[in-house]
Amino acid sequence: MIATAQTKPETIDRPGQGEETEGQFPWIVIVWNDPINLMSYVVFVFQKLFGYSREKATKLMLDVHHRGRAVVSSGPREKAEMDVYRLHAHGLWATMTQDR
Amino acid sequence: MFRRRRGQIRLAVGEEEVELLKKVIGEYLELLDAERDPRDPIMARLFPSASLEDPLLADDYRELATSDLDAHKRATAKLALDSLDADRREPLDEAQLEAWLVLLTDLRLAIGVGLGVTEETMEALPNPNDPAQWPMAVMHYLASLQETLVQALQG
Repeated sequence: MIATAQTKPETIDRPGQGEETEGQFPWIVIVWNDPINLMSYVVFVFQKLFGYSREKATKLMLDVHHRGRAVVSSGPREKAEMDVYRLHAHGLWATMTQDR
Repeated sequence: MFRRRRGQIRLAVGEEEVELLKKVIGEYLELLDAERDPRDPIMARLFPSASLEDPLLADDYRELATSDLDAHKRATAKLALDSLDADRREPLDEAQLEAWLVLLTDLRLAIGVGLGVTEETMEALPNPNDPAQWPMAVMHYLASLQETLVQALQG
C-alpha cells in the first residue's frame, strides 16, 4: 500500500479513506424487503452465506419482512463488498453503507 | 419437485414441467442477452445497486461486479438446463443444486418485477380475467419448486 500511496499521492489526504477511519466506522450490509423472495429461501441464504444459526437467520428475515430492511453483516469495506456481491448472486437486494 | 432420499436429491418432474422450465429459462437467457437499459426495473433488480446514497460507490461496485454477476447467472442457467437434459434418475451434485436454488430465485424475480407484483398481489387469489394470470401461475409453480429444494437441502 505504501507504493500505491507514493505513486498516487492524491489519495493520501482524502478523509474517509484511511485505515483508521475504516476501523472507526465499519461498513454495514443491509438487505431490503422484496415481495418476491420466499421466506424459507431468505433464511436459508443467511445461514449459508454467513453461517448464522437457524434462529438468528429467521430473526433477520423477519426484520427484513416487517421493518423493510435489516443489517445482516458488517466489517471492512472489502468484506462488505464481497457480502453484497454474494447476496446479489443469490437474488437478494443488498446495499452497503458506512456506519457513522 | 426436488426429492431427497438417502441423502441424495433428485429433480422429479414430468415432461410438461421440463418443457415449461426450459421455456422460462430460455426467456431468462434472452433477457440477459438483450441490450441493457439500467433503468429497466427487471435489470435493476437482477443487477442491484450496492448503494442508495453514494453514486460513486454504486458506480465502483457496478464496474467491479456486473460482468462477474452476469457470467454467474449464465453459468447457473446452463447448469440447470443441462441437468434437465441429463438422466434425471441420477442425483444432482452440489453445483447443480446451487444452480437451481439461485436460478429459481432469478426466474421469479424477472417475472415478478416484470408484473410489478406487491405483497398483496402475491397473496391474492387468481383472477381468471387477469392477463397476468399465467405468469403469476408460473411464479407460484417456481415458488413451490423452490420450497421443495430448500426443504431437501435442509435434510
